[in-house]
Parts: sequence; structure tokens; C-alpha cells
Amino acid sequence: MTNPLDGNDENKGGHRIEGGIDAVVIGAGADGLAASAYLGKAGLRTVLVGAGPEIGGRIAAREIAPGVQGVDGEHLITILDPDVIAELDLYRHGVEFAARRLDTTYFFESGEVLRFDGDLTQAALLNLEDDSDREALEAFMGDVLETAAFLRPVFAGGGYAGPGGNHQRQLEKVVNQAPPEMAARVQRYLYATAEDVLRARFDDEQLRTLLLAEASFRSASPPHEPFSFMSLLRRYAGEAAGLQGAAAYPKGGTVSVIDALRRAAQAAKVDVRAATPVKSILIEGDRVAGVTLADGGQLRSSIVIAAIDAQQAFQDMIGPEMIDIGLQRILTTRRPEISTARMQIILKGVAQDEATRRNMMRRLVYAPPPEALTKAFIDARAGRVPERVIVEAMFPAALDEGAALDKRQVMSVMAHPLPFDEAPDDERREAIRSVILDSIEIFAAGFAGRIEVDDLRLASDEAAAARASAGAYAAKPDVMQQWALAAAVTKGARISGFYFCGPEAQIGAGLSCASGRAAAKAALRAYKKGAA
Amino acid sequence: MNGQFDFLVVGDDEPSLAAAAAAAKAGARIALLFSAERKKRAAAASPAIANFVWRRLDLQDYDLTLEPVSARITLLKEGAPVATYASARETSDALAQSGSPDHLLWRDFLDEMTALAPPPPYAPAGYANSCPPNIKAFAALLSDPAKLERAARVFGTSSDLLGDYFADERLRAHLSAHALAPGGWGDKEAGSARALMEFADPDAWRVRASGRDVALRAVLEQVCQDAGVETTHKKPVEALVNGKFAHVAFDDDEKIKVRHLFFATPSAAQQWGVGSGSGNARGALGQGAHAEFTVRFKLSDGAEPPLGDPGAIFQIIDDKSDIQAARDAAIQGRLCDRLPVEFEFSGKGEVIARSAYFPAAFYEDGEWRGWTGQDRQAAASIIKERLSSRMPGFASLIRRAETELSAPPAGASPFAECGRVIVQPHRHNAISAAVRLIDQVMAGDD
Repeated sequence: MTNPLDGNDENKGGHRIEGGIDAVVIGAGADGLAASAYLGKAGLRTVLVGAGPEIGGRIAAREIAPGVQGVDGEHLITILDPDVIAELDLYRHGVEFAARRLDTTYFFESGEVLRFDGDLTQAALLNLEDDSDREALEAFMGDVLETAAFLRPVFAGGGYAGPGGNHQRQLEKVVNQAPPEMAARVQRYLYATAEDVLRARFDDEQLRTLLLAEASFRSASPPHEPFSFMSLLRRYAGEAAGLQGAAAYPKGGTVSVIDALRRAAQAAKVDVRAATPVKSILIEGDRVAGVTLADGGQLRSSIVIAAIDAQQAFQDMIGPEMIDIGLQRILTTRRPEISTARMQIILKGVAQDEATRRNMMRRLVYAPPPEALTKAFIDARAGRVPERVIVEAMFPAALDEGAALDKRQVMSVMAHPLPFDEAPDDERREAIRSVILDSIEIFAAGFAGRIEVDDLRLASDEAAAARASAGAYAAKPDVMQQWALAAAVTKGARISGFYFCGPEAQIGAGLSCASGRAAAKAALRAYKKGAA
Repeated sequence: MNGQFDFLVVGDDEPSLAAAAAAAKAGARIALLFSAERKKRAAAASPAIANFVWRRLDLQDYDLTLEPVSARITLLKEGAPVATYASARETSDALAQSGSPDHLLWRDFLDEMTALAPPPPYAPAGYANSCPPNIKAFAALLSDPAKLERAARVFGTSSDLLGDYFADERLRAHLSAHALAPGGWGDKEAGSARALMEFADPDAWRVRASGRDVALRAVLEQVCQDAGVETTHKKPVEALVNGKFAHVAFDDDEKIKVRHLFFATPSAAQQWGVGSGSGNARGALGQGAHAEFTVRFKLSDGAEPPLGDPGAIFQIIDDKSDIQAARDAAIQGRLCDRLPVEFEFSGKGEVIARSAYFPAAFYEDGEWRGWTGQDRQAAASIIKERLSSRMPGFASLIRRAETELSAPPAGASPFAECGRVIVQPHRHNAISAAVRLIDQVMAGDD
């Protein structure tokens, strides 16, 4: 018979009730780290628990081939919240950009190429021959960036109040004070399809093609459907913040942002506990009371922030009986159909000439013809692997010497749109691998012959690594659905002291941390008022 | 016709005529442009006329009697037809009789569709330029989770919304067909749920003229004439914007100044290469990629309507998946294998069959091209086959077939450079929606 007081390892945590904690943050991904750092920095005794053995969620370093480290998850920073960088002092904690405002080269099916300067406001630098096209692009970018800047508060932070005020009043104030021209523009853009807007603005087929690709990239909303133009505004809202640039590469890859967030959390005295899965969220009356761990122990706390996917947080840890019917409906009816794949490819040899090296310092995008893009969405939605996909590629070592390999180089690729599978089989993986490699071959002829190893990572792989529900990392739906989902997950539980900043709280794809910040700020306001 | 007008209304269908007459009666100066190729034909059923339109146009003075179509019926590939009726009780009873598990939900569904269908918090893209900005509604929408959830349902997919209500696959297929096929929508595309809400609106229930058989179109033309609407059949050749006016030039060198060009239906716009229906454009909610193709089959005696009901509107689909597949085919510029087809019996020995799931242009060998005579023959043949699949022997009854195509014409549109164009997307309640829209634009002008 085992004596419960023996104190052996197995029983050490089991059934132990731990008190004296102000806040528990569940989920050790970027948003969980950011949220816990904010709480710790404000003086709350905060425990961050992650289910997996590593910190970082889907963004993690991994050996993709013997002796070669890759980074899973995001390969570029596009929408990282500048307020998070400043307030958590991430530069001091190690974030350093190896390259910002990356220039982009767009490749087309015809073999033609357009070069786009990283600074979107300087569209004149594009190598367009026709002055009227250049002027049209300049005017368009002006409109779009201004509108994206105006909508930035709407894109950031799910449904929680912004710092220092009531979100509803704040937002209404901003929007109601919009000058008439901006009001008309938002109204026009809100419902519009990307195709309609771009066709009305540009005669140049290539400009339309590249902007359609940008609008559709990583979104489940096809460019011919309503709200799809808003996806482009969302993508450019990071640029509109004026700090991150359209795309930036941090030294050491995106995992360095996770490391910096971890350091920020540790500096704020957050107790970071990996391999500590949570079984349920404790609710007493209409208030949160802490969490029950998988080993039976409890962490008692009046604040719980869930930085995990909504399915786990609401259905598994809180229980359907405690959540709003609207949220339940949203959670149970969601059926993701589209996803993005990540591929890291190790190529034999290194660039010999300066021109190639310079090209490798750019973001390379293959933009399929609009007809092929439409078909790709139709195929992916029907569960078929498309014939052509948008490819975004970059070479980490070209931007960051620290990533250089001996006589080899890594090409990092994101491909979209692809069908979403909860459990893809080998045949499906091979079909996806082939279409990605075929699409790259269009702009890098002969490239397949230089492949040493390729490492394909699908949404289901990322979810498994982050111990998340498979659908959590499928492509995001149109912005209207995302706004509704973000509002539902942040306000749907109505449990005092509970806050949510999982992937569903974020509008658009990419590493942002804005929802982690918003959840922490909301928790702190309640804490200061004594409500939590 | 000379001088300055508030609107040039282009089109001679019922929504165009109603909008022109209502605006003229409200004091606007209206020019109405009829198609030069106008033919006198038996009228198909039109959307109902809302009470406010009836009053605005004083239709009681015009000896007009309208009667509702008897039923909406869907002929699926397998099993008995599915029917719904204007009366909620009649529909519930019919569903119960057919063994549908969802018969008790019908009334709730209609109530909730009506509740969900608010005046849009913002205007759809087609006429945003001319509507007063409604940014406050947008702010309220984003700030209130309840409103946002409702908006997400309204602008979500029809497939999700129907899945939320009904377990009966056949009923879902029936509702998808009648709600979505007239506008060429797909049931899995964002925004398609809104079509369901409009479809449940009593004003969307179609009607036909009865009594002494005075066609609604003829009556509305008379109302236009009485209200001082000026009409023309001339061909416009150019419209250029100068300040707050568009200067429209006709082929006889006559010119007029108009504040707005108004298209009450996407078909009217598409015939002039306007809106997102121009060229091979593919765009919002069935306006863009689609051409509506109609075949009028003149029959010899003896055509027996399905269920013996000559007063119904029929839809042919094999199953629910046909709707999105047809939308996908149209936007890709190809003909659909299992084309959804709508048809009705005109009462004059005619069957009028149409589908909005034809492509506006064809995409072949990496190129877009317009419709040819062969395409029209192929389209007519597909429609004939679809009708024959549900009415055996139908093909042998055909004496003559006339086709009509609402696709962009070859060449540049005379309105291509004109920014003061308002196009109403496909609406189930097209007549009342057109009157509301023209009112809205007039209010913006004031």
C-alpha cells in the first residue's frame, strides 16, 4: 500500500493544491508568454503552464536533417504587435531583426518578374514600365495603407478592451470620427471581393495577379468571395503600424521572438512550467478559481488566461454547459477546409555569384494566374490538392549569417491554398509535396535536382506539436467570420476572471501577440478594480 | 429627349420600371432606356410588389390583379419532389406528410430568417459609391458581440445556416436551390446566407398577373408614362463624368446630363457590359462570373407539369452539391455538367426555363472568349436535357425554342469610363429593393 505522505516522485504533484497564485496562463505559445509577461510585470504572481515539454507552441526549433536546425511555424514576422515589443522590451530580451522591410520578387507563370520594394508606400520603385500603372499602384497603396492603419485597432486584440478604456466606446469613437471619405472607403472595402476591387483599380494583369495572391495568401477566403479584400488590408495592417515592415526576419529565426518572450516572462518572475498539462478549468459559481492539472493537482487562482485553442479551452476544460449557446454553435459548426503548408528544403551548394546572393535576400513569391488561383481554392475546398499554389519562399542564411550551412542552404517555403486534413495520409503528403515543388520549379528551374532533403509540415503537424486541436491551425476564414469568432471566444464564456487569447482570438495569420496583450490588459484592469 | 435628368434608368424589366416610376413620382427627373431588341413575350413570374411600392405607384388605379405562384417545387434526382408554399402551415403539413423530420421547425426558420435579415448595416459593393456612409452601424457591429455574431451568420454561408436548422438533406437541397439558384450563388461561399433571408421575405414570393391578363410590365410602363418618365430606345455610345453629372451621348449625337445611371438588376447591367459582370470579370455573388441563359420552349399540347401544378416555380438539381459545383464552374468559365435549372409554365403553351449558372465568358486554353452561336446551342441543349430528365417525353413536345442571354456584349461598354453607375445585385425582392435603393440614392443627393 502506498503511503500518500511518502513524497515519492509520482505523487509529488498529484492532488497537491497550490495557492498564493494571482494568475494562471494556460499555453506556452507566443500569446501565452506575452500574456504572462504582462501579468508578471504588473506584479502578479503568475504561473505559465504548457502541455508539451518545450516552450513556444507551434514555433519551435527542430532538427530537420542531421545537423540542420530549422524553425517550425512562422518563417517571417509580418504582424508582430509593436506595442508588445515596446512594452515587454523585447529588443532588450534579444529580438534583433536581421532584415526588415524585405523586398519581394514576384514570379508569374509567363516567366515574367516584378520586383517590389519592401516599403509599400514607395510603390514607384516597382520595376513597372508603364507610368500609369505605377501611378495607379501608388494611389492604391496610399488608400490601402491608410485604411489598414485606420482599421488596425479593429484587427488587433480580439474582442477585449484596449488599454485604458472600454473597447466599445473606444472603437465607436475612432470609427465615428472617421472623415467621410474614410467612412465611404471602409464601407466600400468591407464587403468587397479582392477581384472586384483590383479589377476596378488596375489594367495591368500582373499587378492584379500579385495583389490577388497577397490578398489570398494564408486566408480561407477565396479572392472572388465577399470580404476577401479585407484580408489584404489585414496583411498590410502590420506595415501600417510603421514598425515591423511588410515582412521582417529576426536573427535566429522566429523562434528568437519566442526566446525573447520567455526571457521577458522570466524577467517578470513568471513561473514557467513546461510539461504541465491542464485537465480542466476550475469554476466556482460564476468565477474562475484556478485549474486542475492532469496529475490531479490544482493551481488556485482568481485569474486564468487560456492561450490554447478554443476547442480545448471551452469544450474540454470548461465544459459546454458553462458556455454561451452562440459560442457553442460556432465551435461545433466550424469545419476548416483550407490550410497552408510549410516546407523547409535543404539544397546542395551555395550561391556563387553576387546577383544570386542578392536575389536570395528577397522574399520570393510565385503568384499563380487568377484563374489558377480560383481553381486552387475550389479544389482545396473540395478536398483536392490544387495544381498550382501561391508560394512564399525565403533563404534564412542569406539574411542571417548565423544560419549559414557548409555547402548547403535552407530554403523556407509557405504554400497556400491547400486542403485541410485532420489526419493526412502519406499519399496526401506526397501530393502536397509535389505541387509545392512543381510551383517552385516555375521560378527556379532545375531546383529539384539540388534538393538534398525536404521537410513538409502541415497544419495537423503544427497542431500536434502544439498539442492543439487540429483545426486550430487551419487557414483563417474571412474577416467577418474572424471578427465574430474572436468576439465569441473572448466574450462567450462570461466567467469572471477567465480570459482567452488562443489562435481563434487573432484576426489574420502570423505571429502577432496582440491578443495575448489584450487578454492580459483586460485581466489587469479587472484585477485593479478588485473584480478578479 | 434632351436636357438634364436625375437618373438614367437602364432596363425594361419590372424592377427597373418600378424604380423609375417611384422616383419620378417622388419628383425626380427620370430617363428610361429600353433595349433596342425588345420583344413582346409572355411574362415570367416576377417578384411580389411590397405594399409601400403598391401605394407609391397607385397601382390600384391600373386594374392590376396579381396572384402568387402556387408553390416552390424542387425536382431532385431521387425520390419525390419537395414543395414549399406561401403558407407556413401548408408547408409544415406537406413536410410532415412527406416524412420530413423538420416539419415542426419550418415556422421558426421563417421567423428567424425574417429577424436575421435587417436592412444591411452597410451597402453592398455595387452601390456603395452612392449611398450615404453608414459607418456608425459598422462601429456598433464590431463593438457588440451579439450583433457581430448575427452579422457573421447573415454574411456566412447558406450551407452553414441551413445545417444549423435542418437535418433533412432533401429539404436543405430544396431551399438551397430556390434561394441560391436565381442569383447564381454557391451555398458554400461567404455571403450566401443572406440570399436565404431574402428568400424567406414575403416580397420575394413571385407573382403573376391574372384576371384580364394585364401584364405587370405593361402596367408599370403605363405608370412610368403617367409619372412623366421619358423613355428612349436610342443606343448610348459614351458616358463621361464631368463634375456631379455623367454626360451620355447617343448614336444620333443627342446628349443628356444625368446624375446617376441606375441598373435595377445585374442582368440589365450585364447586357451593357457594366458592373462586375463586364468582360470576363468574376465577382461578387453571382453578378460577376455569371450569365443568365433563358430558353422559351413553345410546346404542342399535352405537357404535363410535375405534380400536375402549372402554377409553380420548379427547380431541377440532382442533389445539394450541384449548387456550389455550378457556381464553381461558372466562375471558372466552363459549362456545368449537372446544371441547376429553374422553369415555369407561362400559361400560353410555353415553358420558360433558365439558369444563372452559365459563365459570362468561357475560359479555354488559357484565354477568355465570349459566347458563340454554338455555345447558345449547347446551353439550350443542356437545359432541354435537364427538363427531359424530370418530364419524360418533354423533348418530343417542343415546337420551337427561343433563347435569351444576359451576357456582356462584345466590345467596350459605353459606360466603361463612367463612375456614376449604380448596379443592384441580384435580389429576391428585386422590385421593392430597387425602389428602396433609388430612394436611398435620392436621399444621398439631397
